[in-house]
Amino acid sequence: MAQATIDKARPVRIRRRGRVGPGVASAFAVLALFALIGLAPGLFTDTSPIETDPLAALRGPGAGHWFGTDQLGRDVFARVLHGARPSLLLGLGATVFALIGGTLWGLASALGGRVADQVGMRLADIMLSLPELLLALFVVTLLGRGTVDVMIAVAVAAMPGYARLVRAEALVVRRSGYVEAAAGLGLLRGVLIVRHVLPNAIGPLLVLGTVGFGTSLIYASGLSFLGLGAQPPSPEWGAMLSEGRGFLETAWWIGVFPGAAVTCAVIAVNVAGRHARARFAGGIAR
Amino acid sequence: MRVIRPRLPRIVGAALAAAFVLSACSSTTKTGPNAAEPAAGPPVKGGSVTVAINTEPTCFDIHVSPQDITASIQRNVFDSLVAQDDQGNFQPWLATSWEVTPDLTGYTFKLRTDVKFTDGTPFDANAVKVNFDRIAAKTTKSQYAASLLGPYAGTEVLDPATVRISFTKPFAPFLQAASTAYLGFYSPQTLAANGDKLCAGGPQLVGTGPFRFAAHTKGQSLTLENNPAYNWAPAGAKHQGAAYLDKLTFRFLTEDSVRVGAFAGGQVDIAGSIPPVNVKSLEGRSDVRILRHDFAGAVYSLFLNTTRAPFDDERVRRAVQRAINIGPNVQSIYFDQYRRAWGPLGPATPGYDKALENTWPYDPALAGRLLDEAGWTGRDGDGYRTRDGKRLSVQWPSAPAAVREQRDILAQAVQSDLKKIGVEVQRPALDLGAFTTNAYAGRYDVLDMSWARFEPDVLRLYFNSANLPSAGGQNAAWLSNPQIDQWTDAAAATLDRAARDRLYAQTQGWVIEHAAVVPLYAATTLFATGRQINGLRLDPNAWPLFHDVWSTRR
Repeated sequence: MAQATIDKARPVRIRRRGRVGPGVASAFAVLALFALIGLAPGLFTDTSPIETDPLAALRGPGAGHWFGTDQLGRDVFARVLHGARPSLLLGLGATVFALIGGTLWGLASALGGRVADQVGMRLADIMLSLPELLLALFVVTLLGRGTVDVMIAVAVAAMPGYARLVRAEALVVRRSGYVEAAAGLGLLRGVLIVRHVLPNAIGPLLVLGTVGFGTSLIYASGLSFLGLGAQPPSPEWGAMLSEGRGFLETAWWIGVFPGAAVTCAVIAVNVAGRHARARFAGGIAR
Repeated sequence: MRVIRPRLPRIVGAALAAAFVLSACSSTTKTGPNAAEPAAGPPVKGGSVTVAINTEPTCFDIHVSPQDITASIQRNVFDSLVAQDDQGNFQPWLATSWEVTPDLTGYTFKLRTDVKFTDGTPFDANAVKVNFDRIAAKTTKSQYAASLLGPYAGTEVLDPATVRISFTKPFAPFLQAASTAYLGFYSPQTLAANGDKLCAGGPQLVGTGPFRFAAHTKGQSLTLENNPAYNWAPAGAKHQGAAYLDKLTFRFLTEDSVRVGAFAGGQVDIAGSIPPVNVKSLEGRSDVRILRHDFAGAVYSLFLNTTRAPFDDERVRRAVQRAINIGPNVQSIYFDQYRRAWGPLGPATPGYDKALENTWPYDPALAGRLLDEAGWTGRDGDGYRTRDGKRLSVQWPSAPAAVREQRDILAQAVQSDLKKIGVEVQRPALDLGAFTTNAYAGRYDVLDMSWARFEPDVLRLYFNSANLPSAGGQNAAWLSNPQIDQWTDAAAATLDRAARDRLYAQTQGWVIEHAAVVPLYAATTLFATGRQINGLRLDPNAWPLFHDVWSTRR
């Protein structure tokens, strides 16, 4: 009913927003497929991703092995499928960590008083002045290698961007009429933040997070490529790319398929993220 | 030798040892189909040659650095007392003749009298003494050369052309050690003036070799220039007098694909450490030759810690030895370029025991029976064997920073093969520091290493109880066996080739039979050279010799 009312109020815009182009549709389809693969790779293949068979090494893509086999005779198709979960989880985990950390940081800056704001934002400035990947590398050096460590490293590197956004939004929302009204009604500060400031400040953040997911995916794969993330023999796209890089001339399929998987995932996430941003931001020109 | 970085204790040297494909190798310089030395007319003087290598030395001082690459480059700048040929025989070089006392504690050398360092200082008995004393001095902090001098007691100058080196114990491997670039000679003048600045590389590294060190640009390249006065090449050289080339440039191209690409594109004349995967396609080109050299020294092996459960049980060790499908894995990972190893020594090493070949083939069924016998009969949810509710799991620490030659891939094959018989292999990834500490403390079940040296005495280094890691040695299997000690000590105390061969064969047989070690592969040194390059040879350590090289490209 509410929908219908809005439709009447702003019919044109809604119809345009509701229409989903083929690009966006396929992006969502790819994401859904990848999510399914990540959740249950066993649905698509019953070949083991880690069992070796030196006699079947370096076979090209074909009927027996759709994506060929690597230098140990492992099935690249099975490895790409089983690599989906760790690879996507790395990116997703990093983004979620970054969103949570960035939100707390931004709120603390916006609502914690002048000193907290100065300290928080100058720290963000310093971190933003460094390339994100460099920052992640630095953090992973401190933490050590491993999936969770890489997740945290990428998250820390992405955090200051989110923190700034949350702070800006929170400052706007804090001065808005309804928050001041709520404050005037004597609402507790904590309740005020959770019930009014946060929900209204968080929208743009989620949109930025969607786009950030793509970036995190790339950085996480990059760190795994350098051997800092998932440890062998467990399959992970970045690590597989790294193993295949010496074989591009002789056995391209070892590196190309995991590379294509990362590319597809990132493009799909970005297209979906832009779509979400356009929907959310609506008429706001960006 | 061949550590990745300076200052690492020697076991890491060993663990990371035999660095790069460039390591010491030897004997049969097998060449590919189109690698025969062509008759390209008479040698041409002049010109320059560029060589791409995969590692930049972290220290250029031959007396300090344990790196193979340092010796490999500096071989062309520094000469040795004697030269060793592919059969393991010694030939005169800076020494014209030598005598060894019957108890092998004293070596007297007669020196050439016409040799001059490139700064004009004459090479004489005093230069030998100054150099050897420097190597042995604690303050030099030698990471490898000092160990080559063994139980060094001192050097005596008998007259300007005669020198005697004494040892506190019989020391048979000395001549071999003296033939390596690590025991090469600096000008005493430069040692006095620049002794502390030699690691950095530069023109202050003054030797007697066919080339002199001209310049080094960190991260990029180093340049050697012709020594026109050179007239004391060893007997094995193809010509006497100065080297043909005016200039020799080494470029550091660490990324395999970049190095191979630079060579394929003609930007460099020679490339070292060719990855096995690229050999076939390069060999197919008519303008390329591949130079091969079999591995000498201790091959890349897994050492099983015999003092820790579960490998204190020989049956478990033997099970692991027989359950790894080594042949096909080595073949497929190294594209038929590296050889599957059957014993702890490489096939080109003097004293290599050929009788071990094919004596312990892949036999997972036998491995399973051995584990059953040892009581590992249960199975847990992940398919691993258990005994008294405990999983059969072994720790094999890795130092990813030091991985080369696709060893990480081979390790995955080992993991997978052992999983098939129910053994779990865990590979904690450690930084080099933690890795070293762990190794010395024996906190591992499996340790992998290779050690390139054209000398079977590496067996003493590896298995003699005097060399336990707790004492700073490389006995990574933690063997304390009186029999092994006696064999390896006796072999180091005799120059009788037949006796040494027998003792070393016994040692090799024992460590395989009792599964203290699982040898995996013997690397092959692979150089690619353009057709314009003539006369390139590799010495028994697989170090390229540029004295005889000429280029037909003007």
